[in-house]
Amino acid sequence: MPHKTPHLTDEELLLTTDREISARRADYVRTHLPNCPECSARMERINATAAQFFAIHHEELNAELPPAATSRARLKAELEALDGGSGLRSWLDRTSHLLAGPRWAYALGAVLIVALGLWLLFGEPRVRDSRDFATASDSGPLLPEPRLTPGATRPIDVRQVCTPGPPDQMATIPVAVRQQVFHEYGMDQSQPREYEVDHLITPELGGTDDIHNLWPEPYSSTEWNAYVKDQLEDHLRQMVCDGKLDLPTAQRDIATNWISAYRRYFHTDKPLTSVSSLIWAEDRKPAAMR
Amino acid sequence: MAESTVRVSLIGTVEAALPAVSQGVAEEVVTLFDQFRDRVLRYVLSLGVGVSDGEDIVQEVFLSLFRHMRLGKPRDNLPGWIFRVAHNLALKQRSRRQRQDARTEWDARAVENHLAQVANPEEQLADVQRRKQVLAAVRALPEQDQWCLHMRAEGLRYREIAEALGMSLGAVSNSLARSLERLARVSAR
Repeated sequence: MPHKTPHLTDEELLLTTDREISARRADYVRTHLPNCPECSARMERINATAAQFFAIHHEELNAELPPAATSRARLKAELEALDGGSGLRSWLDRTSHLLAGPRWAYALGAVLIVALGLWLLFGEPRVRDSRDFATASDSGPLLPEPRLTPGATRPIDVRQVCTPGPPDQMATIPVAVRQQVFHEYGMDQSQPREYEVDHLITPELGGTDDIHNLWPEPYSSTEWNAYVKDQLEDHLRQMVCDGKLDLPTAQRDIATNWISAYRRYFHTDKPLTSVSSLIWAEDRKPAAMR
Repeated sequence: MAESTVRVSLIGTVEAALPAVSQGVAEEVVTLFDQFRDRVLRYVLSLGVGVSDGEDIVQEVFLSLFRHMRLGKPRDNLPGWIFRVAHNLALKQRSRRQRQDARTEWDARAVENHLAQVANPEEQLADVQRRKQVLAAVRALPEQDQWCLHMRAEGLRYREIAEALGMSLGAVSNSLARSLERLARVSAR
């Protein structure tokens, strides 16, 4: 029997995984994909093919890579030469990034207000789920430290959350800020490439780039990693836009304990593995959660 | 724009602090090197550049990045910027050395490397065969499709690939969809 709605293209399936699809089209994907075995199977096949090639690419080329130490030392020496041999600390450069223009001033004002608001909202410190720390000791924090990263938001309403706009959140967080985050978490010796300095409250839900909203989140060294949190962020935003969840609750839940929030909103103890699984979970939520 | 203005004026009015500014940028560049070195080097090797030349290219990329950042130029989409410079340098180097055959060498090395890691002979044979097919299929793709695929394998987002290769977002997704479909057909054989 033919489908009532046209199938998704491979391009749309790919862009969906990167959150690069328009909000309107994303709505269509969410309704179509779980009901279309053909598109679901095609998406699984695309993901499996990509994973297979990426694994080959990495395994084989990794065997060719010389240790980084020599080239790193060489780069530092050449930079030192370009620098004229100065050994002075660059406070100006760091602060010029941190103190860059009206956006910073705006963000600081918003952060102070919202950090206070979140503190009042959260009230007393909460006891975190011990499961969330079971594997965290060797691989960095699964949850941010509330004292360092309470979350920070800017004034935003639901219409702004649900209106597609330029992807401000794509901008790179300045290296100086990233370093400060690692330093505050006592992770100066960690490999930066293993972590995403992530927003606790995603910019799509009104989170800011302020350091109180940033923490070092593992990419893949734990089950609960940055990619999994991305799923929750997308899901909460969609629930807000569908009128199933109010924005302050979404901000509070993700800031308080994103893993607990993931379990609660997806009705699972384990991270789901693909977009189609996410949509499957969304469609099968109990009515009380809708 | 406002941010750039503030940044430039801060730097411009404190001439004496310029060495210190460079030192701070240098530290940032080394941090970025730690994040991107392996990814960039793998990418340029996949373009058929030898390891030694690849390491020189990586050095040049991060020295260029230092100059770029010291001049206060835009920092948005730095991953795209880094891969764009690496890509252009690698193509130039490859052309200069006429090392088009290096990719074939890489394919052979890739299979040999993996061969040594697989114990069971039957499993080894099947696995090597599958890898050969995948690598051959990638080699048969149009060059731009290969670039997109390799950049995606290095974790770049579509937007970053678009920036690096000067393509539109739609062209990147078209390219990857086409490539993955072809690889899927090869794997299904």
